[in-house]
Amino acid sequence: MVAGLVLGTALLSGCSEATEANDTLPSASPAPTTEALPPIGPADFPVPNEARTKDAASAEAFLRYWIDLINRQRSLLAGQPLRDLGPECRDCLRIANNYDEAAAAGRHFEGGELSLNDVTEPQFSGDEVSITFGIRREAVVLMDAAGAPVDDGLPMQPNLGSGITLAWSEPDKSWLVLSMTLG
Amino acid sequence: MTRALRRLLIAATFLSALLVASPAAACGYDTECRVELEDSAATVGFEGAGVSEVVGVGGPEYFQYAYRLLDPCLAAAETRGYCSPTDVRECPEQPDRVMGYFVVDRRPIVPSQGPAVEPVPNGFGPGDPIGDWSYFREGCFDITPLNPPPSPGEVFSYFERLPLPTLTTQHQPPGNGLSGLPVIFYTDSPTTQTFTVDVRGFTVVIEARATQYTWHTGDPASPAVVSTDPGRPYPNETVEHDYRSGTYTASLTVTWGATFSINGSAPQNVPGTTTTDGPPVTFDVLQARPVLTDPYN
Repeated sequence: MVAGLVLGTALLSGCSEATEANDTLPSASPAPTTEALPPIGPADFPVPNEARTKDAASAEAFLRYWIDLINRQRSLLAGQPLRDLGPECRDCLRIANNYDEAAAAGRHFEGGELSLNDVTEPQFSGDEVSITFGIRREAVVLMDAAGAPVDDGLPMQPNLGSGITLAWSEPDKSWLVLSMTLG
Repeated sequence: MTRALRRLLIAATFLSALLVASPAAACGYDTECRVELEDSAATVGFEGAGVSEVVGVGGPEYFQYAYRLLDPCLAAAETRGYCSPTDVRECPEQPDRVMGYFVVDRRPIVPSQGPAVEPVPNGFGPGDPIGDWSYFREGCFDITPLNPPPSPGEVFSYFERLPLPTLTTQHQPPGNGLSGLPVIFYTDSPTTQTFTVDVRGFTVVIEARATQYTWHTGDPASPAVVSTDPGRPYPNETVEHDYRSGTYTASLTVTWGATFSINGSAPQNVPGTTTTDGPPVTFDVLQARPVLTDPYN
């Protein structure tokens, strides 16, 4: 009881001056709301909101999302989302085609997961931003429909020098991949 | 990539001994896709030391970037999945020079001297690539320094795929043979052939010649007879085999060697051989049975 009184006194003493109670109702104008971002990316794996502003943190967030998307599409064997987000990116189209061709041939990839190592500060040039980074790639091999390897595959690489160039798309409110090289 | 496209690329482009390329299979994966090769016999660009000189890059950019020349047909095919005739560009010829139209890409590397153009991630040192390939310029370039004459090994890769003739087995007596009477083998098919191929702009003449003949007798007791000549018909036969009665299928495998010359140079040996298998022939060998007859009857 005594402690409560002391606390209450201490809180009240924090008020420098008294304020009058508001005896009017709030205006009828609606409160501002956040404009919905146009959907981009797979419906069940969209580009996250933190990657949809035109700043360095957003560009890095997009890069992290993009690597996750590649890993996802490799296991799904579906290249179209990579084309959608990198329509002018030659290597993105190559990878997307690899996935679609593997699916058409009844093949699949074993391994190959990508994970980012060191990611450097994004470098802006107008509406474009480039990021250099190291990436780890697990061992990977393409398997045929019978479960036999199609070729020798590639061994694990702990740190492949890589880079990506992103371009800001105002209509999409998102980054798009302009070019990318992994390893 | 379709075979037709590959052929188009072969016709349109050149191979570089300086090319730093991984096997074509690597382009089936996400990473480490270099310029794609066609069984080392033809390719679509140049990468590595010397390219920056050909492109005419100097100053800091010489150390800050790696450069590559890509055939525009390949660049188009990788971007949109096909290459059209408009992607194949011609360059004015110059005496004793090899000219080609290329798209130039470049990629930041950790420079051996001076500042890097991009921040360097942890774990990378001078010469390591650190960024992505991007378009730099395109045009006609004199690639003579990048285009050495075909090596013997490169010529061999062509030789292996030449449409060498398959030699037909002839045997005597025609039709059925007789046990106790050797069956004579020979071939009257051509045993030499000349091919002229274009290897990266060099005219390579390959003179192929049969060097060994392996006659598959079809007889388990003695399955093969090897000769260095094509055999001859009776009475100058050099290859023959004694059969017991039965039905046999014989054929001829020919080992081919070759010499080659480049732009009229002195011929030299192709380092290796290849073989062709001729069509099989089947015949019966009958048992001869003596029968007494009266010549006066």
